[in-house]
Amino acid sequence: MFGHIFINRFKLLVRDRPTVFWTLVYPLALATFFCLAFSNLYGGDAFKSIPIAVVDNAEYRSDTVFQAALDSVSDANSASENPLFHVTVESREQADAGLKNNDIKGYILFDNGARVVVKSSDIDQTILKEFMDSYLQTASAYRTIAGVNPAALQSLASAGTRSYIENVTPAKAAVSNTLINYYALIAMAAMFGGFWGKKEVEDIQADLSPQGARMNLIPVHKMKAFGSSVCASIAVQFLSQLVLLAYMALALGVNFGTQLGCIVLTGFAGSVAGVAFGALVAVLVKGSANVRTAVMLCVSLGMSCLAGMMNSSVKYMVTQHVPILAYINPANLMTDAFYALYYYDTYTRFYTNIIILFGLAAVFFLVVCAATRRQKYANI
Amino acid sequence: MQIFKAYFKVLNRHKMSMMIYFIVFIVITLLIMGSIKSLTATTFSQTKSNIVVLSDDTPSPLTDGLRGYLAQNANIIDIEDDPETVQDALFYGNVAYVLRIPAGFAESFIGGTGALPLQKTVSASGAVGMNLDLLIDKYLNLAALYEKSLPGLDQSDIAARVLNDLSVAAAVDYNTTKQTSDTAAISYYFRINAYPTLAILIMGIMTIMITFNEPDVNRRNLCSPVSPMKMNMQMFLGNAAFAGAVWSALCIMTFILYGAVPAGAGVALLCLNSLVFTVASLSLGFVLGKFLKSSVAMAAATNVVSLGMCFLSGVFVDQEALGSSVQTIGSFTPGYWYIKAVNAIRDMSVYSAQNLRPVFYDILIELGFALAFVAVALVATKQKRQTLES
Repeated sequence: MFGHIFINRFKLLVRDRPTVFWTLVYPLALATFFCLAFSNLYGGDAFKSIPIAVVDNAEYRSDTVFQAALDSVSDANSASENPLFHVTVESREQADAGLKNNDIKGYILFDNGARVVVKSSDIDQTILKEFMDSYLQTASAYRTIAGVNPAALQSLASAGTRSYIENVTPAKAAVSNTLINYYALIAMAAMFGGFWGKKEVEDIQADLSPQGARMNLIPVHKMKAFGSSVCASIAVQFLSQLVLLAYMALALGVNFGTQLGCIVLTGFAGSVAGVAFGALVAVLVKGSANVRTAVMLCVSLGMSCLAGMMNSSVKYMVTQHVPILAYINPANLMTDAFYALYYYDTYTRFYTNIIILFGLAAVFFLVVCAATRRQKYANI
Repeated sequence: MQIFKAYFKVLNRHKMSMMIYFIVFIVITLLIMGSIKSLTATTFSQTKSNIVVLSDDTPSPLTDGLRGYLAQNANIIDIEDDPETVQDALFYGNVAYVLRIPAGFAESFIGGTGALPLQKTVSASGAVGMNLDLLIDKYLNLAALYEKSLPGLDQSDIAARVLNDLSVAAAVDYNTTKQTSDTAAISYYFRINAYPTLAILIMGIMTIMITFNEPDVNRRNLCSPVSPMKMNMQMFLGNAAFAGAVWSALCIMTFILYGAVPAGAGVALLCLNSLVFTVASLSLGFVLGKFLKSSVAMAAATNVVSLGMCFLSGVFVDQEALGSSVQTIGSFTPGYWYIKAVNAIRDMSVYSAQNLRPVFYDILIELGFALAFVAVALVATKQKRQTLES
């Protein structure tokens, strides 16, 4: 019996083109758009020399100490390992034109003392000002020392500066700002699996569809029939999750870490939770089919948004301020499971997420079973 | 005006699905509004990054001075010293830089054999980390300078002298005109505007087209005593009225969300640009409606086309931040030229003929797209009528 219902139900489901579109084609299209739009966004993480200019006038030319300081941080100086600036020396008119056309971020002008000229205040401009400040501050320190202990200045010339900072990698994998968007997108696709669950309930409840009325007459236990067809739904949804995961990992190069088994397990847990969620909506929301679809869409999109699909900081804020919401949101649990796999060395957080996800699915299905069994209708 | 009326009866029946996009627009805008930084600054303000300072060392004047100096130049965030909390904060960009002062640092620095290194953990962004490296090294290098050249100074003396030097700052000339900053803020809303404009128009026009082009309805209309000329005229009027309503509603909404708008050439240009883009979206909906028959396909096409165009043309992600190949693909859509014009208007400080010419070219290209879509739709109409008649 199980095999019969499962196979026929499976065939029926994969021919439901609108639902296949929303659960598979639409996430694939969105993932492609994400990839195209984000490809360049955080690619240039490495620091690039900032283009600046220095106005060439008599005051600048006479200040050889400054020239040496600037040279040490310029990319023209091959000794510098990580040059701060790409410096051009030009006239004030040229520098103004360059600033206007965004060719340079700012310029340094010597006009009775050094000034920095910028037209916006972003990080690059801050670094330029920081450099200029630093030069003036060091000069101030030398003046103080010269006043107290002039003899020490001789030895200082050779002292130079050094870095006191060493880099420590944060976790086992690099920080990546767009990964959460992709993970939450998979979670959205999993929640869209609710369309299958909704369909299952609609097709088994006598008051929701003619098929449901017919199903109540078959000589098979209702929960048995329902169970078999839900398994078919989960199978279809799991397959589309696998296609989506494979497409993201292999074609788009989204990094999921290396634990293949755990990644597939997350996809499976998400599929079960998604189908269960749709069935729950179909049971709880009374009204027309359109209302149920609208509720399903809004809730699953809302959950994916809170899981960080549009902006990963939303997920962080939810976890910080309303942790309970993070634990009852299946989309967030799924996203967090992928994140924990990718970023953490330990599996505690991953398995916590997976267990809660299965737990939520079990609760959803229990409610659905309680609500659908032994219903009798005076009329339909 | 029977057809004109019928047009809006059909639209009215589907108003909810269109309202969704309007609401999505407002929600996205409100979300972004909170995070967008004020663009109307007229003075230079240094960019402050979020930093966490964790210390395993006993407090000393040297490290207190460092912390104080960082507090002036960055936002010090207090979070729990727990690996998972720190890692999460870094991953989600809540913190850009975590500095850990090792135990015994101050002692090793002053008179010791050599300073222990400070440990930094940074999230990805290069320039922010670079800036904080500069700040920290500068403080410590100055401290080392005093320590070497003026032996006998105690820690608090060194810290005081260093902080005294660090209060010196370079003068900054800030060359921004107020006018550009104003259009800069509102141009952002016009950028986001592209999404609801596209989605609502494609959805609306396709709904109308599918309803009116249903073969039986179409056959009935063709044998009615209204001439095709008149019928098309009323349909055209309906389209124009619908597009006009959507355009003005979104513009008004933008102004409400943005607040007081200084009327000026920039704002007028932005409105003109979005009007032309509305026309282009209208004709895109028109051509899609010619090819699609079911409402299921319609919902799919609306979502994929509108989201796809917005991602490719720089509505959700800044156009300048898109890769060059993506920009090339995007330039085959009207959205790309709309955003290009919005950005050009945003960056313009003087509205001279020379500056305005590229903006008008962009707008003309959008108009060209509109004409091309209509041309394709007309060819399709002709072919369809032939199959209908046969």
